[in-house]
Amino acid sequence: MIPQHDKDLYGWAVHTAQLLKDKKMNEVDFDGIIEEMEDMVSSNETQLINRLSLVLAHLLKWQFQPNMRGHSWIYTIREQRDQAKIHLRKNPSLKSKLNEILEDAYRISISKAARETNLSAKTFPTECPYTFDQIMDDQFYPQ
Amino acid sequence: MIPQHDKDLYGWAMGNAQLLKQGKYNEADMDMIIEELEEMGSNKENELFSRLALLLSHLLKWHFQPNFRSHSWTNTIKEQRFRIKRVLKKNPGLKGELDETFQDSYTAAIFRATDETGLDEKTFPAECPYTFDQIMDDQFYPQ
Repeated sequence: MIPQHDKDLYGWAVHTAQLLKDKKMNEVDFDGIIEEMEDMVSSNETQLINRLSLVLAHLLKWQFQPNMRGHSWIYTIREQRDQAKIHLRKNPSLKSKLNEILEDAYRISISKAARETNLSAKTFPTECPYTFDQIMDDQFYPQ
Repeated sequence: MIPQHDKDLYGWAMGNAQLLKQGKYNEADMDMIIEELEEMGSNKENELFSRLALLLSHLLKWHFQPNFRSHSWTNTIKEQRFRIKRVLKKNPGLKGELDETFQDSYTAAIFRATDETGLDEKTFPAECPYTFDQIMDDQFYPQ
Protein backbone atom coordinates (compact mmCIF):
# COMPACT_ATOMS: atom_id res chain seq x y z
CA MET A 1 0.00 0.00 0.00
CA ILE A 2 1.54 3.28 -1.15
CA PRO A 3 1.15 6.27 1.16
CA GLN A 4 -1.09 8.99 -0.22
CA HIS A 5 0.39 12.17 -1.61
CA ASP A 6 -1.62 14.43 0.70
CA LYS A 7 -1.30 12.21 3.78
CA ASP A 8 2.40 11.39 3.79
CA LEU A 9 4.53 13.33 1.35
CA TYR A 10 7.77 11.66 2.39
CA GLY A 11 6.41 8.12 2.12
CA TRP A 12 4.71 8.95 -1.14
CA ALA A 13 7.88 10.38 -2.73
CA VAL A 14 10.08 7.48 -1.65
CA HIS A 15 7.61 4.82 -2.81
CA THR A 16 6.76 6.55 -6.06
CA ALA A 17 10.46 6.88 -6.96
CA GLN A 18 10.88 3.16 -6.31
CA LEU A 19 7.87 2.23 -8.47
CA LEU A 20 9.26 4.30 -11.33
CA LYS A 21 12.65 2.64 -10.97
CA ASP A 22 10.99 -0.77 -11.05
CA LYS A 23 8.99 0.38 -14.08
CA LYS A 24 5.69 -0.53 -12.38
CA MET A 25 3.96 2.23 -14.31
CA ASN A 26 0.45 0.98 -13.60
CA GLU A 27 0.92 1.52 -9.89
CA VAL A 28 2.39 5.01 -10.13
CA ASP A 29 0.39 8.01 -8.90
CA PHE A 30 1.00 10.26 -11.92
CA ASP A 31 -1.54 12.82 -10.73
CA GLY A 32 0.55 13.33 -7.62
CA ILE A 33 3.70 13.72 -9.72
CA ILE A 34 1.99 16.25 -11.98
CA GLU A 35 0.88 18.19 -8.92
CA GLU A 36 4.44 18.23 -7.59
CA MET A 37 5.84 19.40 -10.89
CA GLU A 38 3.26 22.15 -11.15
CA ASP A 39 4.24 23.17 -7.63
CA MET A 40 7.85 23.38 -8.80
CA VAL A 41 6.74 25.59 -11.64
CA SER A 42 4.76 27.98 -9.49
CA SER A 43 7.31 28.19 -6.68
CA ASN A 44 9.90 28.93 -9.31
CA GLU A 45 7.77 31.85 -10.49
CA THR A 46 7.14 32.99 -6.92
CA GLN A 47 10.86 33.09 -6.22
CA LEU A 48 11.44 35.49 -9.08
CA ILE A 49 8.39 37.57 -8.13
CA ASN A 50 9.72 37.90 -4.59
CA ARG A 51 13.18 39.02 -5.70
CA LEU A 52 11.85 41.49 -8.25
CA SER A 53 9.35 42.91 -5.78
CA LEU A 54 12.19 43.58 -3.34
CA VAL A 55 14.21 45.37 -6.02
CA LEU A 56 11.14 47.32 -7.09
CA ALA A 57 10.13 48.31 -3.57
CA HIS A 58 13.61 49.69 -3.00
CA LEU A 59 13.67 51.51 -6.33
CA LEU A 60 10.34 53.11 -5.40
CA LYS A 61 11.68 54.12 -2.00
CA TRP A 62 14.80 55.47 -3.69
CA GLN A 63 12.76 57.57 -6.08
CA PHE A 64 9.94 58.72 -3.78
CA GLN A 65 11.71 59.04 -0.46
CA PRO A 66 15.13 60.35 -1.53
CA ASN A 67 16.03 61.81 1.86
CA MET A 68 16.18 58.32 3.37
CA ARG A 69 18.54 56.81 0.77
CA GLY A 70 21.17 54.67 2.40
CA HIS A 71 23.78 51.99 1.92
CA SER A 72 21.44 49.28 3.12
CA TRP A 73 19.03 50.04 0.26
CA ILE A 74 21.85 49.84 -2.27
CA TYR A 75 22.96 46.49 -0.88
CA THR A 76 19.46 45.08 -1.05
CA ILE A 77 19.01 46.28 -4.64
CA ARG A 78 22.36 44.85 -5.72
CA GLU A 79 21.87 41.52 -4.01
CA GLN A 80 18.34 40.98 -5.30
CA ARG A 81 19.36 42.01 -8.82
CA ASP A 82 22.14 39.44 -8.75
CA GLN A 83 19.85 36.75 -7.34
CA ALA A 84 17.20 37.47 -9.97
CA LYS A 85 19.83 37.23 -12.72
CA ILE A 86 21.09 33.91 -11.39
CA HIS A 87 17.55 32.61 -11.13
CA LEU A 88 16.80 33.57 -14.73
CA ARG A 89 20.04 31.99 -15.90
CA LYS A 90 19.02 28.70 -14.28
CA ASN A 91 15.46 28.93 -15.58
CA PRO A 92 15.63 30.70 -18.93
CA SER A 93 12.07 29.66 -19.90
CA LEU A 94 10.77 31.95 -17.15
CA LYS A 95 11.43 34.82 -19.55
CA SER A 96 8.28 33.83 -21.42
CA LYS A 97 6.26 34.80 -18.30
CA LEU A 98 8.16 37.94 -17.58
CA ASN A 99 5.36 40.47 -18.22
CA GLU A 100 2.98 38.70 -15.91
CA ILE A 101 5.68 38.21 -13.26
CA LEU A 102 6.67 41.84 -13.42
CA GLU A 103 3.07 42.98 -13.01
CA ASP A 104 2.63 40.85 -9.88
CA ALA A 105 5.99 41.92 -8.51
CA TYR A 106 5.16 45.57 -8.99
CA ARG A 107 1.81 45.25 -7.24
CA ILE A 108 3.49 43.63 -4.24
CA SER A 109 6.26 46.21 -4.24
CA ILE A 110 3.78 49.07 -3.86
CA SER A 111 2.47 47.65 -0.59
CA LYS A 112 5.98 46.93 0.62
CA ALA A 113 7.19 50.44 -0.21
CA ALA A 114 4.13 52.05 1.36
CA ARG A 115 4.58 50.07 4.56
CA GLU A 116 8.28 50.81 4.79
CA THR A 117 8.03 54.53 4.05
CA ASN A 118 4.71 55.45 5.65
CA LEU A 119 3.86 57.11 2.33
CA SER A 120 0.40 56.42 0.93
CA ALA A 121 0.26 53.68 -1.69
CA LYS A 122 -1.21 56.32 -3.99
CA THR A 123 2.15 58.09 -4.02
CA PHE A 124 3.40 55.41 -6.39
CA PRO A 125 2.41 55.04 -10.05
CA THR A 126 -0.24 52.37 -10.67
CA GLU A 127 1.78 50.94 -13.56
CA CYS A 128 5.42 50.01 -13.16
CA PRO A 129 7.39 53.10 -14.23
CA TYR A 130 10.56 51.11 -15.03
CA THR A 131 11.35 48.70 -17.83
CA PHE A 132 12.70 45.25 -17.04
CA ASP A 133 16.10 46.23 -18.42
CA GLN A 134 16.21 49.23 -16.11
CA ILE A 135 15.21 47.17 -13.11
CA MET A 136 18.06 44.77 -13.76
CA ASP A 137 20.63 47.43 -14.72
CA ASP A 138 23.26 47.80 -11.98
CA GLN A 139 23.66 51.50 -12.80
CA PHE A 140 19.97 52.34 -12.65
CA TYR A 141 18.78 54.32 -9.62
CA PRO A 142 15.68 56.37 -10.50
CA GLN A 143 15.82 60.09 -9.63
CA MET B 1 11.72 20.12 -27.42
CA ILE B 2 11.71 20.09 -23.63
CA PRO B 3 14.64 21.83 -21.95
CA GLN B 4 17.12 19.78 -19.92
CA HIS B 5 16.75 19.60 -16.15
CA ASP B 6 20.16 21.18 -15.47
CA LYS B 7 19.81 23.88 -18.13
CA ASP B 8 16.30 25.13 -17.43
CA LEU B 9 14.50 23.70 -14.42
CA TYR B 10 11.37 25.76 -14.96
CA GLY B 11 10.99 24.71 -18.59
CA TRP B 12 11.81 21.13 -17.70
CA ALA B 13 9.11 20.93 -15.00
CA MET B 14 6.51 22.59 -17.18
CA GLY B 15 7.25 20.45 -20.22
CA ASN B 16 7.30 17.17 -18.33
CA ALA B 17 4.14 17.96 -16.37
CA GLN B 18 2.49 18.52 -19.74
CA LEU B 19 3.73 15.18 -21.10
CA LEU B 20 2.46 13.34 -18.02
CA LYS B 21 -0.92 15.02 -18.31
CA GLN B 22 -1.15 13.76 -21.87
CA GLY B 23 -0.21 10.27 -20.67
CA LYS B 24 2.99 10.31 -22.75
CA TYR B 25 4.97 8.49 -20.07
CA ASN B 26 7.51 7.14 -22.53
CA GLU B 27 8.55 10.59 -23.59
CA ALA B 28 8.87 12.03 -20.09
CA ASP B 29 12.29 12.36 -18.46
CA MET B 30 11.72 9.61 -15.87
CA ASP B 31 15.33 9.54 -14.64
CA MET B 32 15.18 13.13 -13.51
CA ILE B 33 11.64 12.75 -12.18
CA ILE B 34 12.94 9.91 -10.00
CA GLU B 35 15.81 12.13 -8.87
CA GLU B 36 13.41 14.93 -7.96
CA LEU B 37 11.23 12.54 -5.96
CA GLU B 38 14.24 11.16 -4.12
CA GLU B 39 15.40 14.66 -3.37
CA MET B 40 11.97 15.49 -1.92
CA GLY B 41 12.34 12.48 0.35
CA SER B 42 15.82 13.39 1.52
CA ASN B 43 14.87 17.03 2.03
CA LYS B 44 12.21 15.92 4.48
CA GLU B 45 14.70 13.65 6.26
CA ASN B 46 17.17 16.51 6.46
CA GLU B 47 14.55 18.83 7.84
CA LEU B 48 13.69 16.38 10.60
CA PHE B 49 17.37 15.76 11.31
CA SER B 50 18.33 19.42 11.61
CA ARG B 51 15.33 20.35 13.72
CA LEU B 52 16.02 17.46 16.11
CA ALA B 53 19.69 18.46 16.32
CA LEU B 54 18.74 22.04 17.10
CA LEU B 55 16.23 20.96 19.77
CA LEU B 56 18.64 18.48 21.35
CA SER B 57 21.53 20.94 21.43
CA HIS B 58 19.34 23.40 23.32
CA LEU B 59 18.19 20.73 25.77
CA LEU B 60 21.86 19.85 26.36
CA LYS B 61 22.72 23.50 26.95
CA TRP B 62 19.74 23.84 29.29
CA HIS B 63 20.85 20.76 31.19
CA PHE B 64 24.60 21.34 31.36
CA GLN B 65 24.95 25.12 31.33
CA PRO B 66 22.04 26.13 33.58
CA ASN B 67 23.41 29.57 34.44
CA PHE B 68 22.93 30.67 30.81
CA ARG B 69 19.27 29.67 30.52
CA SER B 70 17.25 32.30 28.71
CA HIS B 71 13.99 33.09 26.97
CA SER B 72 15.70 32.72 23.64
CA TRP B 73 16.52 29.09 24.51
CA THR B 74 12.97 28.30 25.61
CA ASN B 75 11.66 29.91 22.45
CA THR B 76 13.92 27.80 20.27
CA ILE B 77 12.90 24.67 22.16
CA LYS B 78 9.19 25.45 21.84
CA GLU B 79 9.41 26.36 18.17
CA GLN B 80 11.42 23.30 17.17
CA ARG B 81 9.06 20.98 19.08
CA PHE B 82 6.16 22.49 17.19
CA ARG B 83 7.91 22.21 13.82
CA ILE B 84 9.04 18.63 14.40
CA LYS B 85 5.48 17.62 15.28
CA ARG B 86 4.28 19.32 12.15
CA VAL B 87 6.76 17.69 9.80
CA LEU B 88 5.96 14.27 11.34
CA LYS B 89 2.23 14.89 10.99
CA LYS B 90 2.60 15.74 7.31
CA ASN B 91 5.10 12.95 6.68
CA PRO B 92 4.25 10.03 8.96
CA GLY B 93 6.49 7.81 6.82
CA LEU B 94 9.46 9.56 8.44
CA LYS B 95 8.67 7.68 11.66
CA GLY B 96 10.10 4.58 10.06
CA GLU B 97 13.53 6.23 10.13
CA LEU B 98 13.08 7.90 13.48
CA ASP B 99 15.48 5.78 15.57
CA GLU B 100 18.36 6.33 13.18
CA THR B 101 17.62 10.04 12.66
CA PHE B 102 17.35 10.52 16.41
CA GLN B 103 20.77 8.90 17.03
CA ASP B 104 22.45 10.91 14.29
CA SER B 105 20.92 14.16 15.36
CA TYR B 106 22.13 13.59 18.93
CA THR B 107 25.71 13.29 17.65
CA ALA B 108 25.26 16.54 15.72
CA ALA B 109 23.72 18.15 18.83
CA ILE B 110 26.83 17.35 20.88
CA PHE B 111 29.05 19.14 18.34
CA ARG B 112 26.74 22.12 18.31
CA ALA B 113 26.42 22.31 22.09
CA THR B 114 30.19 21.98 22.52
CA ASP B 115 30.74 24.79 20.07
CA GLU B 116 28.14 27.09 21.61
CA THR B 117 28.93 26.55 25.29
CA GLY B 118 32.71 26.24 25.13
CA LEU B 119 32.31 23.19 27.43
CA ASP B 120 34.35 20.06 26.80
CA GLU B 121 32.69 17.53 24.51
CA LYS B 122 32.99 14.94 27.30
CA THR B 123 30.62 17.00 29.46
CA PHE B 124 27.78 15.57 27.40
CA PRO B 125 26.71 11.91 27.62
CA ALA B 126 27.83 9.83 24.63
CA GLU B 127 24.35 8.32 24.36
CA CYS B 128 21.27 10.51 24.30
CA PRO B 129 20.02 10.80 27.90
CA TYR B 130 16.48 11.66 26.81
CA THR B 131 13.81 9.59 25.11
CA PHE B 132 12.02 10.82 22.04
CA ASP B 133 8.80 11.22 24.03
CA GLN B 134 10.62 13.34 26.58
CA ILE B 135 12.18 15.70 24.07
CA MET B 136 8.78 16.22 22.42
CA ASP B 137 7.03 16.87 25.75
CA ASP B 138 6.33 20.61 26.12
CA GLN B 139 6.86 20.36 29.89
CA PHE B 140 10.25 18.67 29.65
CA TYR B 141 13.27 20.81 30.57
CA PRO B 142 16.07 18.56 31.88
CA GLN B 143 17.49 19.55 35.27
